[in-house]
Order: sequence, then C-alpha cells, then structure tokens
Amino acid sequence: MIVSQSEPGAFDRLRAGVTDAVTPVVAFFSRPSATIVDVVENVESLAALREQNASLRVANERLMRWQTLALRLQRENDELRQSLKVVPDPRASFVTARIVGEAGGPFLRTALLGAGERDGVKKGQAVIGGHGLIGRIVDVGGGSARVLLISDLNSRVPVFIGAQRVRAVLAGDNSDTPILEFLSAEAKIVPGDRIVTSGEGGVFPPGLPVGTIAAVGEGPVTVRPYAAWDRLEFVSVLDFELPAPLPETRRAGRVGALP
Amino acid sequence: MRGETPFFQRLNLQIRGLLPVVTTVLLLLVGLIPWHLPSLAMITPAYPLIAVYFWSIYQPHRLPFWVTFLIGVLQDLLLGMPVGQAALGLLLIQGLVVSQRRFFIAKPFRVVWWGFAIVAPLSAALSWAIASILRDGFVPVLPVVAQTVVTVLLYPVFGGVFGWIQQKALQTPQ
Repeated sequence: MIVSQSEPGAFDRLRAGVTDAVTPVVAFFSRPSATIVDVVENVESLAALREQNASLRVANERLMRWQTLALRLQRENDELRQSLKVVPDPRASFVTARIVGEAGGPFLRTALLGAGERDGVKKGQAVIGGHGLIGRIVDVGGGSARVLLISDLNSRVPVFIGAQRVRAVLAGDNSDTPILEFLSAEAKIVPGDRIVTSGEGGVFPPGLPVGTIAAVGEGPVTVRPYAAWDRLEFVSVLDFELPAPLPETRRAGRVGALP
Repeated sequence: MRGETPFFQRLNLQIRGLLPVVTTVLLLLVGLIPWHLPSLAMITPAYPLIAVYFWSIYQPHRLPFWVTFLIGVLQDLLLGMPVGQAALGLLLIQGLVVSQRRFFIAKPFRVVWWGFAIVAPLSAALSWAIASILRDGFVPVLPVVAQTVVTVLLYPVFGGVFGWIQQKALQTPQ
C-alpha cells in the first residue's frame, strides 16, 4: 500500500495486465445483464408508448425550429470566422467502446472499457456518452481501459457556467450530482444553467457539454450531468490534440492523479 | 483399474477443495458487472467480504490467509484502488472470524448472519479509515454505511448458495 502511494507508477503495468486479463470475462458476464436491462426497458417503454409518441411529436416540432435556427447561426458563424481568419480547433476523432465493467463502491467510481491501446485509446483522453462528458481515461491496457467518472471523489474538471462563462471546478463527491468548487461568491447562477468544459489545464478539450445546475442554495452548488450514466452501454473516447499537456505529477498514486 | 480410482478421487477432491477460492473470485467479478441501475453504483455491495466471511467459518483451511490477501490485491487492482486497501479489510475479517469460529461453527444461520452484521461494519470502518488517510481528508461516510447495510442484507442470498455448495461438494472430505 505504501509502495503504491510513494511510487504511483509501480503498479501501473501490473494493474493494466490484470485488467486486460479479466476484462473479457467480465464482458462475457455483462452481456446477459445488459440484455435483461434491455428487456425490462422495452416492456416499460411499451407501456408508455402512446404518451411518449405525443410528447415526441411536440418535441420534434420544437427541435425542427431549433435546427433551422442552428443552421442559420452556423452559416453566420462560418462567415464571421472566415472574415476574422480564425484558426480552426483541431478536429477531434473518437473511438467508441463498450462499458464492460463498473467499479462502484463508497470510495470510487470508475468504469472499464473494452477498448485499449490497440484501438487507439490513450491515457488522459476525455470520454463522452449520450449527451455529455462522462470522465477521463486513467489507465490503459492492450485491450482495456479504465475511466475515472466525473462523480469520483478524485475527479476535478475545470468548467464554464452559463452564458456569462463563470469559471468553476466540477468536483465529484461520489453521488450522482457532482458539486462546483472555487465558484466566486458574486457569480449569479440559477438552476438550469448550462455547464461546459473550459479546457483550462489542457486535460479536457474546451466546450464539451457537462450538465446543468441542479440546485443552488444552502451548501454546495450541485450539477446534474447530461450523461445518464446508468443507461449507457457505449461511450466515445475523444482523441483530441491537446495544446499543452500537463507534466507528469508525482502526487500520491490515486486513480485521480493527473496523466 | 484399482490404481486409477484413488487418483481420480484425489483429483475430484482437489477440485472440490478449490470451490471456496473460486466462488470468492467469482463474487469479486460479479461486483464488476454493470447493472445499469440508477444510483446503485455508489452502494455496490462488498461481495468478496461475504465469501471470505462464510468460508472463514466453515472451510478456513481451503481459504488460507495468503490467498485472501491475493484476492484482495486483485480486487484493488481491478477497481483501481490503492493496492492493499481491500486486501487489509478482507484479512481483518478473516483474522477475526477464524479466531472466533468455534463460536459460529454449529450455530443456526441466523446467528451467523448476526455475526456478519457485526463484522462487516468493522471492515467498512477500516477501509474508510485507510481511504481517508490516503486522501488526506474525510471520505463521505453515508455511502460507506449504505454499502454495508446492503452487503449485510444480501448475506442470506449468498450464504444460502455457499451453504448448499458446502453440503453438496465439501461435506465428505472433512
């Protein structure tokens, strides 16, 4: 235990090796579990079909209006960028991987992916799923990788809040609603404000959707992530050329140690 | 012909003898399967604890301390925890239980379950203390309590299965 704390790298190879060896086994078992979940969800959704249909029609109409608006804004944005000669952000490519394992418990929130170095997954890459950020790759083996979820106690993500782009750090507290730290006291934020990654520190690409403010009041400000973690079976690992990666830090060898 | 039977008998017994270790490792893997249940990840039960407790009472010689330690290390490596955190928790349980097993050995299931309800929080407290020391700050207590409660409530399920395995496969070679 002391060795793993003083020499964070000491167990990395062993960890990756063991995880690699076990991932196929867990993946095998996780298929039936996913199937059961699918069946239950199917039955549930059958029951709510009519209601859902009506609400989807309404939502569809609303989204069509948004799409028109978005297309117009994109065109305008492109024109403005062109006239300003903006250097475009590096294009992010991604690898899609299955979540084969989940390490819960009171002390950590991580997930195992069925893709590793061979598939182009690298340490430090951001992981998104559904509609938002899920976490970051902390360990990579040949055919498996470990994701530190944003709800883990060791997770810290620099973010912008709302249209004012208020700065804060999203900190996991092991619950489903992480909290905001280092938030200036004067910042005016209300529940529902959108939160995106700021890209500060160079660990996450800027502008990834994270979630919305869930509650403001007594105690810490909580955030509801966009990614419904419990519903996800596949996630995307973003390969993003980072402008200035952080140097290797030798803080204790926690899962959350920076890459 | 006559010479073969003892060999296969021995092999058979040896394979049966591995069941405590195999079931403990299996339970560890069960804990890794994603159940896609909302809010449940936080209170994923400490499955290996159940297995170590049960086998320490009924078949301690088939689950030696060093094997428990290795299983604990495997758990730490797989979950991405500091190596040793789970291993120490499991060893504490096993040490306690093996020293007290004379008390449990012939008692009804209910009493053994109560014993688990006393021992599981001790292991949780130790893990919590280790996690807090390693993090330089207190880890929230509530999830630890919730996990322990769920683990204790799940004990009868696995305890029942292990009891069945014990009766069917491990009773004779005592």
